[in-house]
Amino acid sequence: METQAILVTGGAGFIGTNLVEELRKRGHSVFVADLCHTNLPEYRRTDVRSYRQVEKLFENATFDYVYHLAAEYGRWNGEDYYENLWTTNVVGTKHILRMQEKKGFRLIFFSSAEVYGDYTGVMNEDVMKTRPIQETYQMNDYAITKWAGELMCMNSSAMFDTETVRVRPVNCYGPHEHYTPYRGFIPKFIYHALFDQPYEVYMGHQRIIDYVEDSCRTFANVCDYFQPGEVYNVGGWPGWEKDIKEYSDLVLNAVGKDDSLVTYKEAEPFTTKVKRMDFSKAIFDLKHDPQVPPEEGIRRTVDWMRSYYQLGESDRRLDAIVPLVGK
Amino acid sequence: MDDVDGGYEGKTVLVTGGAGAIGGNLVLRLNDLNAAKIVILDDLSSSYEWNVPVGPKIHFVHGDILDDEKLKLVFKDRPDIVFHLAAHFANQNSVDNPETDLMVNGMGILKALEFAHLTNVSRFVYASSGCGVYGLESTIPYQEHDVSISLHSPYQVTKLLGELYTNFYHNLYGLPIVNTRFFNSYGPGEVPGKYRNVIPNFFYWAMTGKALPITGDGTETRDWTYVGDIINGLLAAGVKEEAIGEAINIGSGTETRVIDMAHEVNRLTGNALGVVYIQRRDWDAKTRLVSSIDKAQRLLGYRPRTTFNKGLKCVHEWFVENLENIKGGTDF
Repeated sequence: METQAILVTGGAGFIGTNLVEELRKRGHSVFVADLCHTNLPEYRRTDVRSYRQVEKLFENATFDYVYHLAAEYGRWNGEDYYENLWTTNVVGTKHILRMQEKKGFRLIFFSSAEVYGDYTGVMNEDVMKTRPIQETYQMNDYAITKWAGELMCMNSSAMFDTETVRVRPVNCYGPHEHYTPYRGFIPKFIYHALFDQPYEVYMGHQRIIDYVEDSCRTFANVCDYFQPGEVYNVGGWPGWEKDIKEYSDLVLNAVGKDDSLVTYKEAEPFTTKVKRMDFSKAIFDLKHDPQVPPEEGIRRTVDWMRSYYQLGESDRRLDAIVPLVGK
Repeated sequence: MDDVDGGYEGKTVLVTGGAGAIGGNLVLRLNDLNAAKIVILDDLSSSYEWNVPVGPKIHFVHGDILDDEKLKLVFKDRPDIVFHLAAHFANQNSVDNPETDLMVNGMGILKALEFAHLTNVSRFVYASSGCGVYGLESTIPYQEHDVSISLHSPYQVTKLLGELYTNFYHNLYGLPIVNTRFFNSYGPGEVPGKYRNVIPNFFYWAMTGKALPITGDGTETRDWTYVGDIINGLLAAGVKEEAIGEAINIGSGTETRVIDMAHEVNRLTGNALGVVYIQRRDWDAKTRLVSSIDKAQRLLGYRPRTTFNKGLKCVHEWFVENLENIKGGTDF
């Protein structure tokens, strides 16, 4: 395995933090760009919405690979802050592609399984190419921007011979994903359970989740098995698929609470009920090989969240949206 | 000010720095005025959990003004009115930590304004500082136009910077901003501490058996303004149309000598140890400080209601009630 010069946009975020760690472990030279202002080495504060800031990253550096993770994440985040969503995910990606035309690096674009919309069959990568468009309408702006990003990558390759691999993570979860209401259901359940806040579980939704370290090994493998133009679903073993309620039960078990906090509801609107994913392409091409089953992954995520929110120490750390009613 | 008070009914209000000395009192008043929801963003860097207002309509978000995700959370409910009180406080702290001061007071307000602009708030009220933006060459009593660009601490620089940013958002985007300039706010709810103000610190020392250290000769004057009056000014600034785009002093409009304040604190607390004189702080260049409050009276209908002695009495009562908590948390 050769040592590569790698740039990770969004490298201080949830998946980014884990991916950077994995890439560095493999001896690659990794530079991080993200929104936070820090003085960390091998880091530059960059808002990908600004072409000039993106350009600065390449002024005195050459990268073999760029992992483009910088994005606004999530459906409801995208509804509430649609300007940030569109400018970051679409215009920001275009800026990266413009740099790619100039610099010729290989790009790994982070898309999302949300691009499949409410497709009812097995979601393998070909679905987006072969099925009629009305079967895969994206259900929200976030998904639309991710699909737009993929189309932009493909067009760029056709027009300018740029080399890009697209990945579609599927319900990636794990340490370094702190809680906000815009994030996935796993951190949400854990956070609510830890802080004794009620939460809702929609019945009849099935999901496969993938522990972030497992996803990130596969993302890191992309450098080693890079096939321009390919796209990969990356997620857990189909045998690990569970009902959302089962995940909630695992969380409650790991946190040590019963389900009195939980309200069970019928199917959530605007959300795909069951997603049947096919990961065989990543398993074959990228040696995707998830190791951490949900039981273990959720336990580790609970441990991480406990320490992140300083639970179990002398006094409870106050955190987001805890309505302090009474003292 | 009934028209002002009624202006908050059913409104969603965001108070950054809402756990602080002024913010906490503001939140309690907003609660009484039937605001639908009051969101606090505060990192508790100069307050304590025991001092955070509570209530079913009050949502406390513990977080940094520089944290985009926390900002998203507090702007998620599309606040009608934003009071931007979060700040790195104050002069000595900024001299010791000038870069943090710039990040919080400069970058912090820039981020808050970005989100206010993005979410179309109907009012953005900024807590500027009368002690900050006026300089030695400004004419006493300070009038709003007479600001200085020759200042004596990073805090003063960044408080003025905040006004430059709010004005910019008003000029370019038409954001309805108001710059309120507080003068020596004091009152219940303000904890003593290394970087806190002289009045709570004097009460704390007087009640823990120390002589009160006066940095200077005691004849220096300040324009101490009771927090309840500051809040009346702030509330008016949040709804009065005439205030948009304006900078407005919120002071008592009167001067009090430091030595007289010290004697009154010692009298109230029964502290027999008197005062000691120590060296003036090098950034402490103003020997007199007093506001003109004509503009506030004209635009906001503002009139200070609490006499200095009455205000000190209220502070004393608050200290007596909360002494155990206060003692547990000071950072001297």
